[in-house]
Amino acid sequence: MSGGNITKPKPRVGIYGLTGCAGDQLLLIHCEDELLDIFNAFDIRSFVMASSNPIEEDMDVALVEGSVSTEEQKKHLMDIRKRAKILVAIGNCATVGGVQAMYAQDGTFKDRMKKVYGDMKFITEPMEGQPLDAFVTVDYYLPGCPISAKQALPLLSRLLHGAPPEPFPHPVCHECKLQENKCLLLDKKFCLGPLTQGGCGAVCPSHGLPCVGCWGPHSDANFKEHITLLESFGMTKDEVIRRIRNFGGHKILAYIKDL
Amino acid sequence: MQPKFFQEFIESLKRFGTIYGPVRRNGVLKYDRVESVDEIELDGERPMIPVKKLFHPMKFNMFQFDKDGFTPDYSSIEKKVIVGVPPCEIHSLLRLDEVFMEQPVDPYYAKQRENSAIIGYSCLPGDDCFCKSTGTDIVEEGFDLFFVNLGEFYLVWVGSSLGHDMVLEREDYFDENVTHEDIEDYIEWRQARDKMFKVSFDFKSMPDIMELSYGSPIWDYFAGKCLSCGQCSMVCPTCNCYTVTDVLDVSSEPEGRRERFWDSCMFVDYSLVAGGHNFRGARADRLKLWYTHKMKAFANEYGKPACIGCGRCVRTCPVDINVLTVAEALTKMEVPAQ
Amino acid sequence: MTVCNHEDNNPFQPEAARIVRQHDLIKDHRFFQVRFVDMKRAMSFTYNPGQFVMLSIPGVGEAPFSISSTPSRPGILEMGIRRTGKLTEALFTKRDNDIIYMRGPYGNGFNLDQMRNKDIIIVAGGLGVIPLRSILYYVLDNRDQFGRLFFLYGARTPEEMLFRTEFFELKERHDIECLYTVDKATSEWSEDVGVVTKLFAKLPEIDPHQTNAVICGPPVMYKYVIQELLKLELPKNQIQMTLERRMKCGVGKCGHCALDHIYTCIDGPVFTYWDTLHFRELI
Repeated sequence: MSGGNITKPKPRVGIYGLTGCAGDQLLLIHCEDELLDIFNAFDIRSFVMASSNPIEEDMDVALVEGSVSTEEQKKHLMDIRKRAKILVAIGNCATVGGVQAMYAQDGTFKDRMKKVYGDMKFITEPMEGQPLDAFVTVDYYLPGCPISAKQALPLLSRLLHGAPPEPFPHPVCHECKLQENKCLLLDKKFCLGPLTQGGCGAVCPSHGLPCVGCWGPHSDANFKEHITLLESFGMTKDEVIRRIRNFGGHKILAYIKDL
Repeated sequence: MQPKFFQEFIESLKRFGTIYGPVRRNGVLKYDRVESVDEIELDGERPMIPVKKLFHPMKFNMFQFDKDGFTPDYSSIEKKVIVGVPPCEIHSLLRLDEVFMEQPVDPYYAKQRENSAIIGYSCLPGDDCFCKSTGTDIVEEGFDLFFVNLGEFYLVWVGSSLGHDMVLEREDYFDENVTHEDIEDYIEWRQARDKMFKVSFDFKSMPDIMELSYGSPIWDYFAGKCLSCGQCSMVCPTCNCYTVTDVLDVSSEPEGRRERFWDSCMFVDYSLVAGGHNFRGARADRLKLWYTHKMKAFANEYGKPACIGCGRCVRTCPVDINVLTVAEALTKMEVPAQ
Repeated sequence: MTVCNHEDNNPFQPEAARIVRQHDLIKDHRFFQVRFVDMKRAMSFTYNPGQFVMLSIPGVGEAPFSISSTPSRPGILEMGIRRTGKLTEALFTKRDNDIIYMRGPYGNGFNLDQMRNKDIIIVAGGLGVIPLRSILYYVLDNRDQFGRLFFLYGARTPEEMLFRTEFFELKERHDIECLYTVDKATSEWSEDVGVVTKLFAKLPEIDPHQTNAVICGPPVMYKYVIQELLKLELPKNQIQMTLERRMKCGVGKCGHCALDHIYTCIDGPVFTYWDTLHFRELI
C-alpha cells in the first residue's frame, strides 16, 4: 500500500458512552486476543471505561455508544462530532435508539417519565432516547446489542488503513443457514431473523433461541409477509409489532407505518 | 457386499482421505468430518445443507495479503472420502463442474474435486423428492463407488480407477459373481422405488413456460410473499453464487485475507453497483432470476437444467415458494390456494 | 474432469501494477495510467477494446473497470475512474508510483471483425466515453482497416466533458468527424447544445449495412440513441453497446452479473441491440 515504509501517526481514537448499558464498550475490552493489537495500532485518547485520564482533543475516529437521552448528551455528542473526522455509532442504542426507544414517537414519553420519576427536577432535561443520527452525521454504523467482535474488529482495521468499512447487507437468516441451523419458522416458532439486519453470526438461533431483532431492522425485509406468517403461528398482530419494536427504536417506524 | 462389512470397509478407506459423511450435529444432519463410522446416517433424511459445501466451502480464504501482494491460500483443500452421497447430489456436483471447471478453472473447487472420492449411496424418495421428474434419480458417472442398498446385500458399482483401488483394499468383502437372482432383486428394487415418488411435475416444459411467463403477474404474487431470507440458495445443491470481501488484521501493517463466502441472488445488494444503481431492486426480479436459472437458463447453457429434484427448497422455504409451487403456478397460470 | 496445473494458474490472482501517472479529468473523475510491475507481463499484456480489468487494493476489495486505452499502444493501460464506491474512494488516495493490483483482461470486447472495412459511429454519453475511447483510438491507429469514423459525444456541461483537450485536438484531423454537444453551454462553448441524439441530424448520408455503431452512456440514453440508429436502418446486430453489472470474479463463477443464461463478464460486457431484445434484462 502507499507509503509502506513511512511510519504514519497512529489514528487518534475516542470511545464514548451516552445512554446505554456500556456493553458495547465492554465488548471492545473483552477482545482480549486483539486488545494489545488495538492499543498498538491506535492512539486511544479517551476511553473512560478503560482509563480515567481522557485527552479531549481533535481525533480521527470517535466510537459512540448509547442513545441521546438528555440535552446534555446532545451537546456532548455535537462536541464529539466537531472534533472527530469519522464518527461511528456503536450498538443498538446509538444506531436506532435502543430498547429505551421501543415506544418511540407514540406520544406517551412525558406520561411515562412522570409515572416513574414523579415531579422530580432534573439536572439536564431528559428526552425520549434518540439514535445519534437524529442530531449528527454518522459515518458508519456497528449495530448490535451488544456489537460483535467479528464485525467491530474488521471495521476498526479498515478505518486504520483508511479503507471504508463494508456493511453486511443481509438478514440474520444468511448467517443462520451458514451455521446449518434448522429454521425455527419451519417449526412454527417465533423468530425475527428475516426482518433483522445480519452480522451477528446468528448467535441466538444457533443456540435454539429466536432472533429478537437486536441488530435493528433489515432494510430489504418483507415486514408485511413476515407478520402474516407469525400471525399464522397463533400470535396477534399487536404482539408481533410489540416484539418487532423492542429493538427497532425509531428506525423501525418507517417500515411498519403502513401495516 | 454383505451389509455386515460396510462399516469396516468404510473404515478402511481412511487410507484415501479423511472420511466425511452425513452425521448428526446438534440435532441437524450435516455433511461433516466423521469421528467414528457408526455415526454415519444413511437410508433416511437428507442433510439440510448439500454436499456442495465440501467443494465450494461456505466461507474460506482465497488469498492472504500483505505489503508484497496476494498469496493464494489453498489450506481449505483436504484429501476427502465422502460417503453417502445420493444420486441427485452427484448430479449437482456434475452441474457445479460445468460452472467451476469451465475455463478458466476455479482452482479452489478443482483442487478439492481432484482430492475427493465420492462414495455414492442409493436412497428411497422422501415426501418432497422429485428427482425422477428432473431425470436425476439415477447416476452413471460422478462417483468412485456407488452402494445400492438392496436389504440383503449391497450392489456396488465401481465408477473409477480409484474406486477400483478401494475395492482392492478389502477384496474379500466383495463378491464378483452377480447371479440372475441378484439382478432380479435390483430390478425389483428399482421398480418399487419408481413407484414411491409422491410429487412430480413436467420439468421438460419448464424452459418454454419460463420464457413465455416472463411478464406474468405470478411473479408479483410470489414477490409479495418472499422474505428474501436467502435460505433457498444456501440449501440448493446447484446454487454457486458467492461474494468476496477483504478482511484486514488489526495491525498497522496492511495484512489480512480475501474471503469468499456463499451469496444469494435473493439478497437486495446482489445486483447493486457502485454509485447506487440496482439492476434487481425488485423482489420479483430476484425471484425470476433464481427460477429462470434453475428451470431454464442453465439448460440453455449446459444442456441440463440446474434443478436436481432434491426437494430442499420445498422443505426449507418458510412461505412455500419452491420449484414445485412456482412451476405449478406458472403452468396453471394461477396462484396457489391459501 | 479437466486436469491442469492450478499452482501457477489462479485466475483470481491479482498482480502488482504501478500507477505510472494519474490526474483529475474533471471533478471526481480521474485518469490512471497503470503498468504491471513485471515487465514481461506488462509488455505481453494485450486486450480488445471494450474489455475490462479487475482492480484490487488489499483490504479494500476488488471491482471491475473498463479499459480506456487501445491495445495498439501497448505497455501502459489507461482507465478513467469515477469516485463512486469504496474501492474508487481508496483509489483516489493513490499517487504516482503507488502499487495497486490488477488481473484481466476480461469480457468479450467489441466485435472488431464485424466492424472492419465498415463506417463506424461512436456514440458516447457522459462517462460512457471511457470504454469507447479505447475503440476510438483503436480505429484511429488502424485507420486503413475501417471506413469513415463519426464520433458523437454528449456531456452535461463543457466542464463535465471528459478528455476535453484531446478530443478537441481530434477535431483537427481529417479522418474523423467529431460532433460534441452539452446539455448546458457556457459562453465560450462553440459546439452543439442539446442531447446527444440531436447530433444525428449532422451526419452525412450513410449506408446502414456498411455501418456499425457502438454506444455507451447512462441507462436513459440507450433508448433514444437506438431509436436514431434504427431510423438510419442499421441492423440490430450492428449496434453494439457496453454495459455495467456487479461483478466479483470476472470469469463466470460468482454469479453476480448473470442474466438469463449469460454472464455479463464473459458473454459481455459488449452486447448488440439484438441481444438486449433477446435477453430482456440487459438494459
